[in-house]
Amino acid sequence: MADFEYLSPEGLRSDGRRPQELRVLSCNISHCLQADGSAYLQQGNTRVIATVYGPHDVSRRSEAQHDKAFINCQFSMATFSTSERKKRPTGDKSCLETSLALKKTFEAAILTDTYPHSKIDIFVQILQSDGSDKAVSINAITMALIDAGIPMKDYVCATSVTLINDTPIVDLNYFEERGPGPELIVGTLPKSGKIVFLQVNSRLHIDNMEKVLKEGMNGNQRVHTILDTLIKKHLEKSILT
Amino acid sequence: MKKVDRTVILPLSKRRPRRGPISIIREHYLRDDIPCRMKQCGICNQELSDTQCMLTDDLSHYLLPDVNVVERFHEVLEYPTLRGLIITQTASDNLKYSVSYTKFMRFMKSLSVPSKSSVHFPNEHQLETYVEQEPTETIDDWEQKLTMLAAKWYYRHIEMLGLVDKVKLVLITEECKDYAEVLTSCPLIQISTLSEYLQSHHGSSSSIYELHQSLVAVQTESKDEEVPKGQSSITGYTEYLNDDQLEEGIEKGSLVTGEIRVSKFHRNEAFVKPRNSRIYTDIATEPIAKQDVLIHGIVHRNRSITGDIVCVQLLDRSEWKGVTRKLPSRDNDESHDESCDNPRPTGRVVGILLRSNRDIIASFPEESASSNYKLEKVLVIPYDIRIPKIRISTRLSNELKHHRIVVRFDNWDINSYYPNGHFVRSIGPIGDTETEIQAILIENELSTSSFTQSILSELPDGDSWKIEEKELKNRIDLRESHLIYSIDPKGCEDVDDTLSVRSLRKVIELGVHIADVSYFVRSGSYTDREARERSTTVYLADRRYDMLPAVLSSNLCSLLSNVDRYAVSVLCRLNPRDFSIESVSVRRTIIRSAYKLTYEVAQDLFEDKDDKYIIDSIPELSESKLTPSELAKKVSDLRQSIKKLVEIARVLREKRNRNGAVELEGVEVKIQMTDKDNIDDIIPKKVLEVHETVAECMIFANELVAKDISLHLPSKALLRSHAAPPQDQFSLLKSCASARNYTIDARSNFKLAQSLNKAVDVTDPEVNKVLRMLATQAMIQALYTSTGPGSNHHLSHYGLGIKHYTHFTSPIRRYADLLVHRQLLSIYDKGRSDDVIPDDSELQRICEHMNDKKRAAKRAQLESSALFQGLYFLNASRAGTVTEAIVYNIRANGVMAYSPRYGIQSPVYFKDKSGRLVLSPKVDDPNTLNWIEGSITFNDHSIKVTTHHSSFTISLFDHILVSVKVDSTSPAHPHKISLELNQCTPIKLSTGDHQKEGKTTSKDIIKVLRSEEEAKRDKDTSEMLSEEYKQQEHTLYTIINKMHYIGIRDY
Repeated sequence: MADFEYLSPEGLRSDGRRPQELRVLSCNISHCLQADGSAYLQQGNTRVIATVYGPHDVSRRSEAQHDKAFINCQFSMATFSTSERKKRPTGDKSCLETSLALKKTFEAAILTDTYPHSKIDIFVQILQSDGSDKAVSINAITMALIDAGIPMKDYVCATSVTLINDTPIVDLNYFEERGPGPELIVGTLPKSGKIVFLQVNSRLHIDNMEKVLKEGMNGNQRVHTILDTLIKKHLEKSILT
Repeated sequence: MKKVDRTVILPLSKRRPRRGPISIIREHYLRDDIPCRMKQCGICNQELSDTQCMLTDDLSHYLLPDVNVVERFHEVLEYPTLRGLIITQTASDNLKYSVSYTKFMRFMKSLSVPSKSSVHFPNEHQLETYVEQEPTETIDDWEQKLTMLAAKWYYRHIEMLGLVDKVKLVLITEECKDYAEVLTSCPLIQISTLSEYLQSHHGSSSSIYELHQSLVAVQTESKDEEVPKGQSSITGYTEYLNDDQLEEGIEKGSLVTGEIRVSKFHRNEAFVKPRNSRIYTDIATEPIAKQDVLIHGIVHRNRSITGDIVCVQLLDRSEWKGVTRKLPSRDNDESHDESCDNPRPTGRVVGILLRSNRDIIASFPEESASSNYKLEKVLVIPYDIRIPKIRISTRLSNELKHHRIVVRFDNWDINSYYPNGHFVRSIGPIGDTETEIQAILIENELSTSSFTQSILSELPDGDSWKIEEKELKNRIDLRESHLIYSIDPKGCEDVDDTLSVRSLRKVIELGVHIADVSYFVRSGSYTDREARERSTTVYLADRRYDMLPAVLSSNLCSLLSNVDRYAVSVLCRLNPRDFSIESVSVRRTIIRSAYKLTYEVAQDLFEDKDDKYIIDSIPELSESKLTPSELAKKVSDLRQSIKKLVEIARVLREKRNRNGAVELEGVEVKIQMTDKDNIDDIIPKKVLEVHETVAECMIFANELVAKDISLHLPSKALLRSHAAPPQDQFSLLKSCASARNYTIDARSNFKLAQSLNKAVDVTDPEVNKVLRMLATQAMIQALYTSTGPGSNHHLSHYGLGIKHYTHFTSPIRRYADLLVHRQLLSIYDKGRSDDVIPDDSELQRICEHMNDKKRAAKRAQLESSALFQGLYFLNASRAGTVTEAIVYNIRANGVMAYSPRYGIQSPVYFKDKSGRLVLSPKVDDPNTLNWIEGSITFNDHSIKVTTHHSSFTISLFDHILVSVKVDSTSPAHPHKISLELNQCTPIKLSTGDHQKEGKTTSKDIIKVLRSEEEAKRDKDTSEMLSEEYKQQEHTLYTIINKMHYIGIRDY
């Protein structure tokens, strides 16, 4: 069956990883000095830039909330990010939907009541899309928020998972995203295990849900460990300089 | 783990505008934990890979073929005698992408058998065996380098383990010089070509070497020849359209795709059943009704072989032809045929999408046979007359002259009249029963291998198995409360189903208890996979191939008497007066069947035969140590139960008949050569009432289950559907019936049943039988289907008159029943069953596979009975046996007749092949017939043969005297039994004599044949054979009975 292309009988995926392994993750923090917080995150060949401005004054009266900060999130994909040039970097329906989903996610994670009547802008752009765009975006935004010093309940870590031959496969690349299995993107607050982002494409049988979710959350734990290490290294470096 | 990037260049896309090839960068991870999969290795972590297939320690050497060897000679590497292969990922990927995906799948499947001790080595992900391609390097060079690195790695690994003197590494390649540098670092590697290796280790005369040589011959011949544009002037074949044109045509609807099926009766005609939903003509763009497209003539068939998926272009309406009305003929009759049906959509093949690529049985022609072992080209004749002769290169034409061989198709050049193929292996001498049966099985793609060790090791031990404690809590115990018994043919070992009837205070409880196979066979297990592959137990005329291993089918799952067994019980409470359903419950239970009855004994019980006779016929009673009064009580309980059962079944059957069930002559047509069961000649050939009783109870249980699962699993329930045939299928039946002034109303199944019941001739009972036979032939096949959106949604069962029907009662011999068990128990036993239920698209695929296998098994069954019948009549003492036959169809050059005594349907020719001579009585001796000049006139009801001195007329339903002839002139093909006219005047009906005569059962035929064979062969061999297939006393009889049983049920 075609599923052997995605997961060989030896337990290797098309790029040589095992089902639970994540792609190589690297991050550059604070590269954009203009913004309050910025992060450039690379997971495999998916490259994402996230920039955070804020907290600052609201630009419109309607955005002002008396008890918490207003979070604005804009998600876009560079025209050169996919193999065929994208006509519209942002503003189309799927980008708007993703932006809204990300906003909701971070509203749950950021301690918004520390900054009433203010606004936090988050901009995230995909520079190179090679699978799991949304998950990588979430990770990048987390790093940027930490760089901006905005208080959060916990890191928000996300990974994508699918199910091939009854085996959950974590951190999908472009090829696997288009594969036969369902795609599940799960974002959690690792310490408590609370889910703040969950999206499922295609059909996933309820009996398999538990298995797949569990693997996704394990993946998130690993992401958390890596991000934490990266932040600490960055801190060390910036203290020394 | 290290990461590199790999650039993959996708070919030019056909759909998008030409923007040039797209280059995609993909990640590529290199690891250090790839195990070597050698059994003796303690270093690598072998758990990380498939531990079933490993390089075992009994191997003296490992074989590492390079990329080209795998590409060209993978068939040789598939041979089971070649063990210890290390296939690199580079080689297998090349096979997958550059050659053919189906060949790749077949190759990988052969590697996954544990006994082959071969491994697939992902060398491109191993840190030490991967290098990136240099910009100036060609792909071939790079692949060679990768293979060398893999070989070196294995060599060093063997060195590290200290096994250099125990295990050798052999690198197989055709370009030995290119690999010479490997020897500098790995002095003890052996490099050889495949041919050298085979010669040294297997010998030049071995079959594997022969296969290698035939492949070499094929490959050296396929040089680039002048490809003519358009049409070949020699053969008339046209070039195929290229992929773009085909794709465009299919999308637009101007080309039809489907499987091509050559007619068995007229090799000149082939049909393509369209798979796409619309067909447009070139001129008038109106969609045509979804008929099969006719492909007339060999030229238009354009080198496609029956079973291929082809692309057809419709011809101009003026060129449309009709199907011929002549009798079936073996020859490739290209002559223009005046007598044709109405023109129908006709087309020509313009492309082949998928070749069927199966193993083909063939044999050498008479004229060949060179005396020396020289390589020559031979045209072998396939067993199946629909396949053209195949040209192969071989040296064995002398040695294997009278053998049946397996060949495979390679290609068909446009300038050649015949396709090219290559020899694979021989299966034995022609005429030997084993060879012939193997030929039937291979032609029908049925596997007959024994169950592998991994399957047998999954199963519990048959002798020591007992009911488990925890199951007692989870199941209802019916051992004490219910009188349960089974009724089956004599000698039946796999008892799927048992029955019970209890009269409670206000209700009658009918219990149908089926073997709980799903408890033993879990989804995903090896047993399950193998059972899915087989899909059904295959019954041939003299043996059967089980779907499940014997420890399950004849022991642990089989509901034998006086042992505790797990079952799934459907307990139905019925109103005691009209037997309407009050409630139904389905449970997992433990039962203990009290009696394993035969049909005959059950019938005797019902007919009130005396107690003593009964007790003697039931071993459970006669061998028990009960007192006479206890015995009498037991017999009376059993008798009462059976009588109630029969009563209930009668009422159920009546209800079904009111809903339109059609009673058809299922047995006689399906099995075609075999008759209904007969224990011996005294008992009348009529079906016993208890047969119908048991069948009715099973149908009832199946129906209840079907209703349940379609209610609870509306998107993925497995049902058995039988669509109503389109009205034009009944045209033959209607015209036959009208010859005797009967009208057949076929507008619904109920009306059909009624008209058939009325169409009875009191003077000739055969008339009604023949009409029912024709009605059966008008039926469409019943199929397994899923209730989900992917199916074609004919969910009801026409023949049985039931809206929702499924197969539930025979999980031991049918895979569908096992799936239905899982579905049913997922509803009723939620907590426990963790089996995976396939979703709709997966289920559709499984249904298609099961339907295919069932068809193949049926064909194999028919062919094997035909085989034995042929051998029976071939014997000199029985050649030319004269018997009575009834005419059931009039054709342009003769009639079709059916002989009830032997169950043979055959054309009876009145006109010979040239068309001038007709069969006519001699002038001086009206009782002998000869061929002289004359003419034939015919209409739907009668045929008149006129010569200058006499004429005779034969009408529909006349009884004629015919002699049975066997055509064995072509040993390459199966024997053809035919009927020849013996007397030109129809005979008067004998007054019921033929009823008492009884039919010649296949049991008799085979008994006679076997005794003749034994006289020729060693006694030991035949004993060994019967040992192997575990045959019992009345083997044939039991098998025939089973087939009859299936014949009734499997509608």
